[in-house]
Amino acid sequence: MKRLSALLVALAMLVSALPFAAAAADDLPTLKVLGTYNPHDPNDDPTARAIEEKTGYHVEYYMLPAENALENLLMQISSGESYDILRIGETMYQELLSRNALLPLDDLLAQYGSNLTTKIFESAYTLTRLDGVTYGIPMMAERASISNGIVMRKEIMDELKLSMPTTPAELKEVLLAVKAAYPEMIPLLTGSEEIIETISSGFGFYFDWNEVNGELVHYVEMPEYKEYLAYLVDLYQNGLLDPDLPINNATTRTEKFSSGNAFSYTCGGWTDAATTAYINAFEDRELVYIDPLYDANGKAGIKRQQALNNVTCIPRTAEHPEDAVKFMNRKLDEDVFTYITIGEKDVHFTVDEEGRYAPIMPIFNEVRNNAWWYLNSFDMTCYGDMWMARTRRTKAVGDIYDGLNQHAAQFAVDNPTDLCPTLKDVAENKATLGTMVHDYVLQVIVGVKSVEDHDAFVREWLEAGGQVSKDAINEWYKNR
Amino acid sequence: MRSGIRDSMGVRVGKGVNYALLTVVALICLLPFVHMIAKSFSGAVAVSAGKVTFWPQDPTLNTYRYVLQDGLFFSSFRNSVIITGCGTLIALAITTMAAYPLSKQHFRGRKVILLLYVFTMLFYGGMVAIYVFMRTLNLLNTLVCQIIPLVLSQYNLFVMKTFFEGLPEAIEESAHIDGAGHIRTLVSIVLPLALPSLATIGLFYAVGYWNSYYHAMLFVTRPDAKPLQMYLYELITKTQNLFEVDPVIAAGLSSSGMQAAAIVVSTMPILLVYPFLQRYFVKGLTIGSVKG
Repeated sequence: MKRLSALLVALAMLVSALPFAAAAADDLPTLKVLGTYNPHDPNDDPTARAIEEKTGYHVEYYMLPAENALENLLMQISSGESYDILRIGETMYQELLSRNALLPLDDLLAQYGSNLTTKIFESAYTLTRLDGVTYGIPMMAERASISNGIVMRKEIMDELKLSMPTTPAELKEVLLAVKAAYPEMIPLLTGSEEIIETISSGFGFYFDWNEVNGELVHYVEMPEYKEYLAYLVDLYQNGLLDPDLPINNATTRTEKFSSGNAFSYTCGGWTDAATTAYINAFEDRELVYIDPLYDANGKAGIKRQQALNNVTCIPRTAEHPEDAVKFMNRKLDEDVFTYITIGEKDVHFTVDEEGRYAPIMPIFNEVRNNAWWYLNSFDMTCYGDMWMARTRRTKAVGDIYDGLNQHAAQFAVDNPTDLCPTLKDVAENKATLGTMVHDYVLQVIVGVKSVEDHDAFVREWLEAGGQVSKDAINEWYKNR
Repeated sequence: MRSGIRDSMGVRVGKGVNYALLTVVALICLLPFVHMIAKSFSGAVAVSAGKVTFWPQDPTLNTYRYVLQDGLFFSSFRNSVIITGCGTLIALAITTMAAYPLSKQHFRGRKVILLLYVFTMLFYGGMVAIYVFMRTLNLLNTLVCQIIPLVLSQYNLFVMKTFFEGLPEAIEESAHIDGAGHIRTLVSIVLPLALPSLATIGLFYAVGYWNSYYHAMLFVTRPDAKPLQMYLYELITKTQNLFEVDPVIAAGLSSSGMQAAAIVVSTMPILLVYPFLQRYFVKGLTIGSVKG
């Protein structure tokens, strides 16, 4: 009995202590890469194998947890964990930068990074530099796109003979007509956005920070925002917004829209869950995308997103920084890059005469579905077009992307702060100010606060970090 | 059970009320689970529209296909089984070996040691300390680092100690008279009597290990070393972005359906263990063991 117990315990310790590390191949070192969470096994994926095949490097991939990722990352790095490459979000990058945990990359890039310095635009690098020193390799949004809009159910518009609204007043009329015909239906289901950009266009502002007389002004301070808020209050009081608006979350919104309980919805992007679920649930129905509304001066516009998506950096504790740069540089060689991102032409994807990329399904998805996770950055001269193959994997997401961007040439406006590097004062206050505005909007809409007291809120906002942010961002804007 | 004597009206009414109440309580416990199972087997559209109650609508195995999609589910499942099995065995051994001497009044320093255990119940070193500890021992990304933190629960230790204290002194004395030492007495006399307690505490440990993901969240960055709960938890948190991750698979899924399938998959194994351990929850083994 004693021997058996001792044996069992010993066996248990032995089995559970089995290391999960694999041995390195060849003379190239094994690189350790840490990335953010994605539900796949990064060490057992066709893209991982393709990368090893093309670069010759064996790579061990690690993932941060889905929750408390930043805390976990800081704990690992501060206790000296020796990853060679970190592929992380901008907030995480800034945190590590402020702790002096990252290796300056300029010398390494000059020596081993010819692709990294020529195929990634200089303008993108300005976002990852601190005092002129490069600490991160920027990965921008794949393609400058319009990422949100309002979708409406075409069959109801046809039935009620409604035309596409072009101004805030027309939008209200459309919603009122739907409310009258279908009293049980939610006329406009909104998401968790701070501003509904399609509507804010109708009041003359398109971004968080808008240029007014050569200076950047946050929308909170703009008189147009007060009008916009009053408009939302009016919609809510007329029963045109979802009465459960303050307690809605992503799941309830998806359920409401995809079950046909709402007429229109503020779609949050080409992979928006609620819109996609609706299209999948009602294949015979059609959605229409309304253009940004015109303001009183006859102007309309909507933000075209081209911000920083991810940053790849090398911690000071890395054991193979030179190989890490060589490895990333190799991944940007023309043939390697195309192969590891979208596969082989006419096997995994096609390109038509007009240069339109399309995936060959389902093999494209089988071999390159998670390819984006492995990118440290991309060839900015060509990836915008190649990436379109990813938006066309299903009809639903392809339709949403095309719908949102249907009139991009006419309405898209570039965000003046797109190429602003993360400023300490802005970053530190961003979360607090964001929550403040989010709560305030809800309180005003449901009537807890009055839009008449908006000036008091602006003072509160300025004191809570708004003024500091404003000064910092304008300082950058003047000297950019 | 029926007897020859007819129950009085009062007794019959009482029984009826009892049955009714117990049935209601049983249904309250059972129905949410049935609802979960029904949802997990239903089509995405039906789940999203809230049409599912206790029977699957538009039956499909899509959600399970996704939850069990790749090797990661099975590696996580294997990890959880190893962590739970080995962890429970080790935890039981350590708890018993700590509780037995502490239950003896004549054990010197007993109070100080007990106080130290209470101290650790009140004050915790913090996650940074334990992270650095695991890293120094080179145990990150292993299963050991998920076993060690839960290897001794002070609460279970005190339960076990109290149980040992309740055993009649005479039983151990008789063993000593027959020439048994401390270890022999513990293994051959005390532990067989303690089976119900061991089973109960073992179940506490097993459920604890099976459900834990906090330590894995701290110590594990290799997906193939994650336990099942962490795998499922992360899977659920990502379902909002599933269309971005994989629009092809996401087309036939709803997030509540996914959550339901994950809950069923993670609860089922531990639920299946209960009936086999239930027979140990019978107290009274010691009744009548001391005569005179």
